[in-house]
Amino acid sequence: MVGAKGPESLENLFLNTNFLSLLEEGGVPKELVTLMETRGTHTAEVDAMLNSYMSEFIQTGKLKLERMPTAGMPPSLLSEEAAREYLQNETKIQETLNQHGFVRKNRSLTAFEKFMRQRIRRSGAVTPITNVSDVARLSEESFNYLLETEPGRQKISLAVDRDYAARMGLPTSFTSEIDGKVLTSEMEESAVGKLFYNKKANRYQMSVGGATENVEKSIAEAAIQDTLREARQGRSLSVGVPFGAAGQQNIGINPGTERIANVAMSEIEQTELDQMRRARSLGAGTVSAPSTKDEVLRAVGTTREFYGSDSSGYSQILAAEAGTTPGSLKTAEFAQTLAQRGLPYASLDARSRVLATAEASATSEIGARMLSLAGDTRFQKLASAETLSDLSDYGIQFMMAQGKEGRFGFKSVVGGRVITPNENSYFRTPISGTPKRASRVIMTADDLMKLKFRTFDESGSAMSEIAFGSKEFIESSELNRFVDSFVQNNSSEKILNRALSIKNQSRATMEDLADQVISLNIRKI
Amino acid sequence: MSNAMRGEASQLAQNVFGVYSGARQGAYFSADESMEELLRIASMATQGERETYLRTLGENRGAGSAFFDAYRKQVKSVADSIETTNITAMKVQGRAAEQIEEARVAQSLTGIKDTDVAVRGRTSSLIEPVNILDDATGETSTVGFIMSPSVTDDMDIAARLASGQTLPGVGPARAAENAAALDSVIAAGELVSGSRVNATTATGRTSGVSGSSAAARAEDMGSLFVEEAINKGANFYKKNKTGILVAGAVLASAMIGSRVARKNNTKDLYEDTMMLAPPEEGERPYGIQEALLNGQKSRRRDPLFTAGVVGNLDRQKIGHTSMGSDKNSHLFGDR
Repeated sequence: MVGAKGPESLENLFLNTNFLSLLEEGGVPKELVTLMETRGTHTAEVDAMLNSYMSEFIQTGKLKLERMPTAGMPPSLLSEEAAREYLQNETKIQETLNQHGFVRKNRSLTAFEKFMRQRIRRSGAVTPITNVSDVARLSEESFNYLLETEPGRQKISLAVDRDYAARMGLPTSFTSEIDGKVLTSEMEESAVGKLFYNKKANRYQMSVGGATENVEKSIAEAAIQDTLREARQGRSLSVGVPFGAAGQQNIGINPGTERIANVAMSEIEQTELDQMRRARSLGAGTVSAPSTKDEVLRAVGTTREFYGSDSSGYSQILAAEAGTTPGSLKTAEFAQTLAQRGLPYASLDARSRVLATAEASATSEIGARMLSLAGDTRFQKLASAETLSDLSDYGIQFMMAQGKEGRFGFKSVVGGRVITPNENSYFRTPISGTPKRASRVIMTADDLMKLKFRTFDESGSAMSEIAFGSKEFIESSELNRFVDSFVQNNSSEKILNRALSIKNQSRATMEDLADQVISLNIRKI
Repeated sequence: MSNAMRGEASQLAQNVFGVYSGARQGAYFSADESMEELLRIASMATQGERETYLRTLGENRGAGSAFFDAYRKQVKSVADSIETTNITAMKVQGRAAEQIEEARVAQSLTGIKDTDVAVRGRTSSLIEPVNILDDATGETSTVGFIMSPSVTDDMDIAARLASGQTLPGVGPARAAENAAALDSVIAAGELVSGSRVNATTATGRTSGVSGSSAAARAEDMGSLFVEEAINKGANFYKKNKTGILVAGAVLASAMIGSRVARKNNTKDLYEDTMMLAPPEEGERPYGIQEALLNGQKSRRRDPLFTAGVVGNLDRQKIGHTSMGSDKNSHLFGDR
């Protein structure tokens, strides 16, 4: 039945076959459950063990399809086209599969199967950038952020079964439409809906299979808070697991934890939040300019003093010290030291603060060049790469303007020739129909400075306007945002692009912005 | 200007004005006329003006709303692009970009997801654009931008809210901190300027510009600054870490940054790479602490060096970075 498995098809096999039933019948290896409960559900050991069982069941012909779309339930996880085809040929497909023994008869799930299905759904690999898998391990501060704040609650998605949905007033009936035919279906016992915050729709929704219903904010938030609180209260439910020769044994689970499908906060982000909160509580959010040379000399090198990577002497001692200092103490000490020495950005998490210094140092030559070109008397003493590099602990970084590469001495390779690029000569507009569509909008910095961010009322009339670079722009947390991406040019030189990434803007604002981009880029032709 | 950019303009002109009349008897405009019309609407000040012109032009040509509709379609398409991939308008390249990537790789913050999305959710802010007055045109032109460090936007906002700031107050608070940071570095520059050469001579060493005798002088003058820092640093060090002997040069390297290392090995791309910041201790399951500490540090995993092959294999095999608990979220429109 199955020749090869892609990265996520293993889950499909678990959920749509009798795999879990076979595992239960044969006796669940205790080692597997121990590994899942202590080390994570998506580790190499667990994957390898489950894979070996899957291979055995496939090779011995025991693996059967178990869960098919039924007449009363709109086909789930099928494309619209596939769903339509299924509806047209439903009876014949069912008959054929039944006749040849591919489908097991519909039946209730055992407690073990329910338990494993939940585990599979919310399982996640352990990496720094995958999301936190268990809120029980969150610090009190991070947990309270999720529980008590609106942005925090919006990061939680729940896997809701029929009983819980009914108890909390969440939808249990779902409608979907295929070819004008409205299908209404009730959640079946094994179905699990997903309650989540849809950023685009700006509301909570619950989805089962292909059908989605909007959910009132108060009901969704009540369910999320109820689940979060329950998840912090220890293991209150027992599940019987048939451990082969060892016989049936109960393991404790937490229903709240099982219900949390996703916490949109990675391990790294949790660490960042904890460190930033702690730093702010230490008063590291304010800074005043140094007034003596001694203050500056004490400040420079602070980042290296804590996290320098030199392979000799001093940093080795520091590294040895780091090994004996608990991470939380070291990062708090770092933040406090930065603040005490008058350095800005002391309230950043340690990782971001280390990067701030490294990136300021890396951009010091570009900064010196730009400040010397500007001729602004405020920057006169900073217009030296050495000075800026020495002062990199202050965390200020510098970016070249798109279109001004030549002023910084950078060259381009065109047709094998090395040339100084013409000023403002590179910009891109993604236009359909071009042989190689541009992957993104690129503007010259001069044109970026001309952008206006407008809001519109329902009739389309402009209500407000903020110019790029203005005080209002600088002070807007939704407009003044830039994200990075690395690319490589045609001479294999690495480039770090920084792009304006505004958020929470209406579609009318985005289309007005697109209109400006098109016009400004076309004027350059 | 590249052929690609000219191609984009002519294709856009074609998409908007190259529509055919009723029974495909012919286009309303020739290619040249289409480009002329495109340049005309591009020169208009507002979207409203452009749209009014396109409607009138369509009516005059018997094309109804065809031009307006076609233009709106292009606008929507570009708006989609901005929503997903933003607007690129600033950069660093060459050695600076390599150093930044090295530092991010060392901190496990890049090289993990794809070539393009360097760091998920991390944003930096504009502190101030740097402008020059173009003597030839008499117009102001932007040569660069002074920027803040990057931080995970959501977490920074969460920490601020927890410390008593309000959501509308986050932007002004960030702006005030950035302004204070810039004031600090300007003041610091003034204070150490006695040990520095002046701006115009020092910039002789800027990337792409050949070295000069001024550069050598900058090194000498810079050495004074280093020595002074060593003395100050040594005092601080002796006071706090008694009993540990450290060679002056090593201390200088630790206290003053990479200058000494750079003198010895000017091509060492790793010189500015910092040690990985430790994760917080806490009740984390097996593997997470290790995973945080053992981020990708090897260049072999850099997608730009391996065309993504090694990285992709790694992700399929053990990296599992796309197999978080949000692995199925795309099916639901959830994030």
